[in-house]
Amino acid sequence: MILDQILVTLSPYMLFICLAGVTLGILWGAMPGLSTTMAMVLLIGLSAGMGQNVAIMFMLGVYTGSVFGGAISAVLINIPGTPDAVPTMIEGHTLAKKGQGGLALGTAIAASFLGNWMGILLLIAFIPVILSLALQFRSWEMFLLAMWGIAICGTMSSGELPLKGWISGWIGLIVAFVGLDAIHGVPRYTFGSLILEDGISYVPVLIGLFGLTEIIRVLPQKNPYIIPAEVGRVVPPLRSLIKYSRAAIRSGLLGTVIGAIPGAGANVASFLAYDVGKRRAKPEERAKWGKGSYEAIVCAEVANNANIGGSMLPTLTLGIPGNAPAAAILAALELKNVVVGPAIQIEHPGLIYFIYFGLIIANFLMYGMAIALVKPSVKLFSLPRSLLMPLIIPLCVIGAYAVNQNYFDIYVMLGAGLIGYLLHRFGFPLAPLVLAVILGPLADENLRRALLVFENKSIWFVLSRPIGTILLLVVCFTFYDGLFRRKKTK
Amino acid sequence: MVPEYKSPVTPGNQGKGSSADKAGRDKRSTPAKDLAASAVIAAFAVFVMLIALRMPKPGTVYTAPGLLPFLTGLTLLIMAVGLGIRSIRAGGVRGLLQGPDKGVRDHFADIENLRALLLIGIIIIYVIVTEQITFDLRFPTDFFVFYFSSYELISIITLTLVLRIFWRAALVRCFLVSAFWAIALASVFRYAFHILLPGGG
Repeated sequence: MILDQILVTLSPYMLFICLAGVTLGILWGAMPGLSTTMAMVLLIGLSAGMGQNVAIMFMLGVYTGSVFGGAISAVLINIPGTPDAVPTMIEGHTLAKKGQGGLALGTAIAASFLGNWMGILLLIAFIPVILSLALQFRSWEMFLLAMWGIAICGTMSSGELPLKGWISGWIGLIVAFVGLDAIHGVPRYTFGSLILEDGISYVPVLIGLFGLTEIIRVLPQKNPYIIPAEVGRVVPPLRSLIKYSRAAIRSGLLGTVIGAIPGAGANVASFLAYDVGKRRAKPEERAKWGKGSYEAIVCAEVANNANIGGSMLPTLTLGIPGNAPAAAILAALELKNVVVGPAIQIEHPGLIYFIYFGLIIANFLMYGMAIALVKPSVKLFSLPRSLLMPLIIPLCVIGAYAVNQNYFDIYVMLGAGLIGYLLHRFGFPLAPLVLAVILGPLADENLRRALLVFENKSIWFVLSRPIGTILLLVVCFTFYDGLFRRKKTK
Repeated sequence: MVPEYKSPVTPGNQGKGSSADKAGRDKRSTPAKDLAASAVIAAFAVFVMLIALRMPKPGTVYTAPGLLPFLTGLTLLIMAVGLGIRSIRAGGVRGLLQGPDKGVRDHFADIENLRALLLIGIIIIYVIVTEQITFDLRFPTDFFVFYFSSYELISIITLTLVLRIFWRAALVRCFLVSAFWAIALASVFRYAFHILLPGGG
């Protein structure tokens, strides 16, 4: 059965379809403001007319391609295509300004390739272990994981003053509360507006905060920065990849496990790997963090790509999507009358193997296509900012509008852009705000569920959950470390 | 002694080549700006808490819809106070007492800030006009129906204006670039991905 599935995935037509999906995914992800989730959601329609296997190959190609594609615009124009590309943006864009954009992207591609492999191999080899670990994450643990993600993002993106990063994250949490509450259906911060009852989608917030803010910030400058058009070396030397292998393995494990936890997603994975990577890096490498570190790019890209394999685990075995793009895969499968879940091996024998091999093929194609696209991308994005930035304005408008076909989202994008510009002028980082808008509903629902479970129970009951207690300590340590780090450094 | 006051690294200002480092003016965080920001954030946090307290409580306090919003508002208030205290210690009050009008004057004296305001104005008008003016022209041919909607028209006009101001190329060149880009973009989304565009469709 396994051999049959391998042969199906290797047929020329399947390879072509997967390549089309990968190319489309990379180009989509590379366009500022167009995210993986958006690609997956909008391209389901294109896959509807395809056969079951063809549609799966296409969607896997799009998924793999678009996750990497986010790194291209992040490195070259400082606008991440996807939220999980923010750490890559912080490091890679600085390198691009120094004329090392090609190598920064090449490192991101190699790390993405490695991350995908790790996710797939861990998925195949350790399904029961990862699944049992992921299933230990109940409401309390999910709440703590979400808060840890926001706290770490605040710490990592705000340099010397984590307080500003956390404030930005907390503002994002408040934005996430807008809309009907998920448990009782009570309107929160809607002020009587029906349109606000649907809540605020993170897609226009992301586009506004990173896309529009960057345009308003860069375009008026008399001498905006330029990205050197000389690409230079793209494929990173093997020696440096070996040098970063420990960081890659650690980040891959982290990315896969977090991907397997329903709801956590690549955003949390890339920031956690970025933070852990910094703590574990050698002092001379740690000093480069935030100023253009290749090791940091490896950590973030390996983690968010390993997340793909991880996110497929609960999606296929439990029918619970690991993240939003995995939910789109689930929807594409349902369009083909494939209901995934614990009985998938009985009802659709061989499908899991087909998906595994599809991911492997997509990974190889992504590597080849990404390497081929680096030089044209650097050339394209090295255009003068005064020409490039205005062209992104209509793209931001389409990106904000496309998912819900709702004009309100364009106003959200506009508002987010203006607030982002203001926050930037006052020295507040923007990444925690976006991450909190994404993780806010997860934190809110899970905290309230957990409190209901803990009602009338002693504190020892709460502390008797080992993963929850470890996470609680880690969250406390993150805040402690952020608050007192400056004093320690002094 | 005034404590060391460093600007946080944000996605926009990291690296030596960023304009924040080169310009170094009001784009950097200053104690006065932090003090002003902490006051606004504290007021916002109180507002968030007050609304959270007024939310209905259909079940127990543990599932109250306002629980996490209240806690978030409270912790945000504490953080804002922390930021305020830190900026006061760094001389923020002195900076603020120099007069908010000085900050406003400095802001408008900077040509880059004026250009930023102009750009913001153009983008706001672009968004509003795209919603208000909607039409959809169809040009059927033997093989294909070509659409031209208000979105393309408004985008071409806006882009031409923005390019003329900031790129400073000849008007015809700006128009040609804008027309090519707006039509290409709209065509990809409309014909290849079957996605409706704002305004026209």
